[in-house]
Amino acid sequence: MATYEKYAIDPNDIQTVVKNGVATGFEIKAKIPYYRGISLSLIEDVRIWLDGREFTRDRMTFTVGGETYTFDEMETMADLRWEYGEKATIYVDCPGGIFLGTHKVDIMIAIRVSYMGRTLQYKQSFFVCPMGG
Amino acid sequence: MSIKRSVSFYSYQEAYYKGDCTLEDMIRFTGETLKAEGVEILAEQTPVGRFPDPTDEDVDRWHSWMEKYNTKPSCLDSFIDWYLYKNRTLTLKEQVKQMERDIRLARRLGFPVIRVLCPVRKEVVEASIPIAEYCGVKMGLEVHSPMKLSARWITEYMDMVVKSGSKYAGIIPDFGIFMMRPAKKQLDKARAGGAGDEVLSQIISWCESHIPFAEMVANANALGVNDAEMSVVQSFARNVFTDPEELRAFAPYIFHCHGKFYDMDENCRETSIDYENPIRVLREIGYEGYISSEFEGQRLYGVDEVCDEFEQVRRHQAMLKRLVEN
Repeated sequence: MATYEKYAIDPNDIQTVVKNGVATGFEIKAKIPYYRGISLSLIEDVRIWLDGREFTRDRMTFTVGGETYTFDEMETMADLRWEYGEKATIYVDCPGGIFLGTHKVDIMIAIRVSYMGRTLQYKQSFFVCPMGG
Repeated sequence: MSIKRSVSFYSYQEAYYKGDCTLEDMIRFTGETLKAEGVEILAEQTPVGRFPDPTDEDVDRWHSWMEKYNTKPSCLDSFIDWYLYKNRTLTLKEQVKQMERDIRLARRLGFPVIRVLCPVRKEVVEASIPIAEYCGVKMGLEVHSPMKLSARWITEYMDMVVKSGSKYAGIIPDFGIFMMRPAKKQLDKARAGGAGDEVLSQIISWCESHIPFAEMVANANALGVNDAEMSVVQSFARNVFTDPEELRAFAPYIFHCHGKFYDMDENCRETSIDYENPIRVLREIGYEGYISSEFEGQRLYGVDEVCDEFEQVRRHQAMLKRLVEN
């Protein structure tokens, strides 16, 4: 069990996002699941499942260093970085957010690691209850 | 002169990731508590300021820490991301540009050596020699298990180095290539998962006699091992033993050493890797560079277990001190 598998995501940081009184989605704060910081272009994919319902990266944005990007934009961002130990915010467009009660969140983050010649996949599952109930 | 002790801050990756310590804390611990001279960092893990362009203030502060804690930069660990973009691989020139980026950073921070990842193509190192010489920073290709010193990849790289005539390209052996047996901590974990003592001793004896991995798997299958026992066997797919005597042929080209370790016991002995013989050989060939403690045992700890990285490094430094000075 490597460092990042234990500490990359704090389930208490998974929250419903309310904009103008309306729950528009939810967000997950994550540290990079890898042992160094990287260029944003090396983030290959993120997938999130809320109670088994899959969200792909086109429904998400990524906020790091005070700026927010789409995953398509990040594909060419070689000079912008997700630093080691730095918390990024992954926002998922999901009207209604996470409802009352306990829910299951699964996440997969894929990073291209050149020297391993492959994509490193980080997967974790959490039970969360951000709205109480 | 003798071999010098250094610490790679890779060792403290968990504490730093959690926010339990800062770069200055790690430097202070190195100089004040461990009385080690060298400081090694991964340029993108525990960066000085912002990678790859720290401000002059960041760089001045870094140098003032070196002075204050009586330490010196030993090695900067570089990464080259040839898969930087999704749709293509970086060209040779682009990879050389990344090498140049890290060489220039090393020069600003006072690192005499950069670690080049083992799979970096020799053509990239060759094309980077002029900038390395200009900056006075040496490039050491890391020989990391399961790579062996005798591998063709290393032989061809060394042919290039020798032909170039440059003193700025060489190697960094990682002590993981001298792994003798599974770490005690790994065996404890396997036992907790249902591995039996008798089978484990059998596996240890296969490891210690350095039989090829495929043979080890065949033996295990013939013996009928359980999953926990097989996981110990499988871990040796990544651990290929090199005879420390092979270091001799590389004498003038060893720029730095990674003192990889997984598990130091209470008596300050590494439970899996041979340190006595490689250090004896390094002393005999007059190696006067650093051995840098590089703890990588975090993964042997369970979810609820606390891994005291600082204590592991303290024990490793005590062992290095004993082997280097006696």
